[in-house]
Amino acid sequence: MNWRPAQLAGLAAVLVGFVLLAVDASPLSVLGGYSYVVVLLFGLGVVGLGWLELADRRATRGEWWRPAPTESGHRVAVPGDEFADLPDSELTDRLRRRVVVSLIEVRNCSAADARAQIEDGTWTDDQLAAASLGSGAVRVPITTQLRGLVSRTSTAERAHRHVIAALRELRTEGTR
Amino acid sequence: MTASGDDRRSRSDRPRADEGSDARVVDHATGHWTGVGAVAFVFGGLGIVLREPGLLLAGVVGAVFAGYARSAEPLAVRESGEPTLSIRRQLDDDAPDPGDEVTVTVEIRNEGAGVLTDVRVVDGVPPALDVTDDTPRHGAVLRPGNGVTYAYTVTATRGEHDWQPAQVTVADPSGAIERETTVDAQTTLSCSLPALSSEQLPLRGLTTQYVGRVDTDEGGSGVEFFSTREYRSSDPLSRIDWRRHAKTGELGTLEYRQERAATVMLVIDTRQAAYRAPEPGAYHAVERSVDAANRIFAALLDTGDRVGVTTFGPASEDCWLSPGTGDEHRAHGRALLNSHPALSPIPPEEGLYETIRDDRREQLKDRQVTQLRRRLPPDTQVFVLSPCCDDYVPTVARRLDAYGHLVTVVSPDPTTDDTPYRELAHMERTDRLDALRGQGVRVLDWRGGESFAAALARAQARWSA
Amino acid sequence: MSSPTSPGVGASRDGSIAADHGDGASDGDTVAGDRTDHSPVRVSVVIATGYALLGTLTMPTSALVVIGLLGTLLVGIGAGRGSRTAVGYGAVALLSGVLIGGFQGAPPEPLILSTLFAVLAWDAGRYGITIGEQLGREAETVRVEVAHVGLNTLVGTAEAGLGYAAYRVTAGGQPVAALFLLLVGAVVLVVTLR
Repeated sequence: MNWRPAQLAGLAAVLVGFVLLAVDASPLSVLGGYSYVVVLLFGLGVVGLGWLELADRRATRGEWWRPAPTESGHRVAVPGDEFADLPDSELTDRLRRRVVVSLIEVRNCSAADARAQIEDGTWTDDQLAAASLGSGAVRVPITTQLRGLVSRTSTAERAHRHVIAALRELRTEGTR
Repeated sequence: MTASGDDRRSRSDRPRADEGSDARVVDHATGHWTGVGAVAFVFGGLGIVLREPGLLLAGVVGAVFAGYARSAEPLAVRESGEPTLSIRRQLDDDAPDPGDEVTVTVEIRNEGAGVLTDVRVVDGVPPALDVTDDTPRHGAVLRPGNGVTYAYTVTATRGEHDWQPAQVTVADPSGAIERETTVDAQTTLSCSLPALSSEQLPLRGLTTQYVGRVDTDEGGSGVEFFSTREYRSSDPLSRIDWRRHAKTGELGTLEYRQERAATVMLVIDTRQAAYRAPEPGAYHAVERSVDAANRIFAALLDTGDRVGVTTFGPASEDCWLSPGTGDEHRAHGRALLNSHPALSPIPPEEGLYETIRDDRREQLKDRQVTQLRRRLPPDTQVFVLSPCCDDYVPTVARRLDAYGHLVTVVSPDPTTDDTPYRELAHMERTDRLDALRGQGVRVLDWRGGESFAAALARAQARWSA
Repeated sequence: MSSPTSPGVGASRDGSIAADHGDGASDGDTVAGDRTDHSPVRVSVVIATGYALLGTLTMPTSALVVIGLLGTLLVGIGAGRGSRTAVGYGAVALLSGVLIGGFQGAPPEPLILSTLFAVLAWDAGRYGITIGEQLGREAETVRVEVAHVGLNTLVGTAEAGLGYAAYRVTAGGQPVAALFLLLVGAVVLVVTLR
């Protein structure tokens, strides 16, 4: 579409509009009683165009520049991230082993003793941690269970997080 | 550069062949303003129907923006064949040591005649370098002839690193059209292991100087008392421990040992499991191991020991430098550490033996250790450099120790405690190193952020205690 | 703590296509090696919310302020979280208030102002999301954002001002046809004079 004729038309429209304003005359009075109908139809037509515009908007997708990231060096793993992909049982085993080692180190008990403490859940004050590693004899308090229902992360993940926090507590116990 | 009446939506994302260069120019119709026209039509139309001039005027607002957006044209990034944007980079250190931080200062300049109100840049940092401070991304408003400067920091790793073209987008003032292009400037960072002088290497006591018992009748320097054993009738009188005889009446024979240059082998863990760092792109443990190896190699050569280097991991058969001394040997060692493919900063795709069945894997791992042991000269002291993020290397260390080699484990620490799982990995590693210490293996735990000298001082205090 | 290897919402890994109503990927690490924070840039969030608030304050009647506040809330949340959809709905809320005001026969001044502010808020909010997606929060982008919003404000104000001036020139009649011609003419002129 060449803009030239449109430019002229636009300019003409503006000039006519100004003239009409100055003269304070309405060209539509010519139509008499039908002027309102004409205006109504015209207006509704315009509104219809607006609706089409909105519909059009849904159909087309804008696209933006997506620069490729350049900040990172060679992608290497951070130790521990792979634990998220381990099956639960394996991760629980690792956690148990870590607790046993920590108990032996910190509380000077034997390996059998340590395992017994894990079974009973007496190695830590944290109920969720004790329950998740224990034999099932340890109960989780209701409040913790309810909180588990509301929270976004899975129960297993929360349990692991509690165990690791309890482990941290246990190990710093030894340095105090 | 003109709109020429095409429907902008169909023009979007069409690469344009550019005269005179291979810089790709891509236009994006962002659709940033889609929907504003609806305001104009709906308000304007209803204003007409209801005879409310207010609504009509409100519609004008929408109409103006719609027209403004629809007439948007991509800005010129090339005028008469010349790019209108130029880039210049400056490195504050062209040839840093591995692990050093280098600040990159970037200047973007508008060489064209028009104002560019919306310039967005992402600098082409070399794929091997990690940005550790600030960001290579920047937004600027550039008048003709003006430029803007910004800076960011990278950590150097071994090798030659070339900057890639910066990705640049220039958007029109309304934001409706983005023109994407690239701007380039030749920039290179060369990083290699430094040649260390002896002042920089306070590495005494790394090796046990006294290896092996030696029967010697000579006295003199370099001979040290070692122990007493039961007297045998063939022993010379000069070797009888008379002091003990005076005290207890028993006869014993003194044994001496002679100072001898140590033979040392540095074994660097280059398995996939050793490529670990506290953040996904950061300076990883293999790089730190090579750094430590460089220091230990130079220091031990300085004290007259014979040092060699090898790796443990993929392609380790061809990475072998037998223990030796001398300037030529020193140069060989440095060259090997700098650029041998087995010590590449790029992590291998798969773990060693990952594609092999479990039972065969154990066999092959065993074979690696046996081969290593076979090639080691007897009485060699071994330094194993590994982050110890899994149980394999500690097992190797223990085996070598059992075979009679004195083993020291130098372990750069790539663990952090950002997240619970990472903290667990940190705890496991700590316990691993403690277990090694408990079995009589010397361990040097080189934490992140501390200098090697500091880590060594700490370890030596522990060893001599 | 979710695994960092899981892809974030709305992240696209191919070329330069991003969904129009996409929510910005505000969590880093969604593309391999990308550690930058792609949340919307701060200045634009403030500007968008500010304009939306102004649009609320210039609503024709106080009853409509409630709708305006709802719109402001949506714009603010959408701009802050990276949701272009929410920003759109916020703008629609503000514009609905204007529409209702128009039905009730409000004078043109508040209608024009409210519409202008609503459109500018929408623009600023979406722009902040775009810049966040492309350059991230850490990059220095204040100048670019101010330039963009400033220029659009100028354009909008100029045209709204001209239209209003033209309206005031008349002796208060209902020169609808004249105004409509003005509208069309103004648009065309803007389009061709760029």
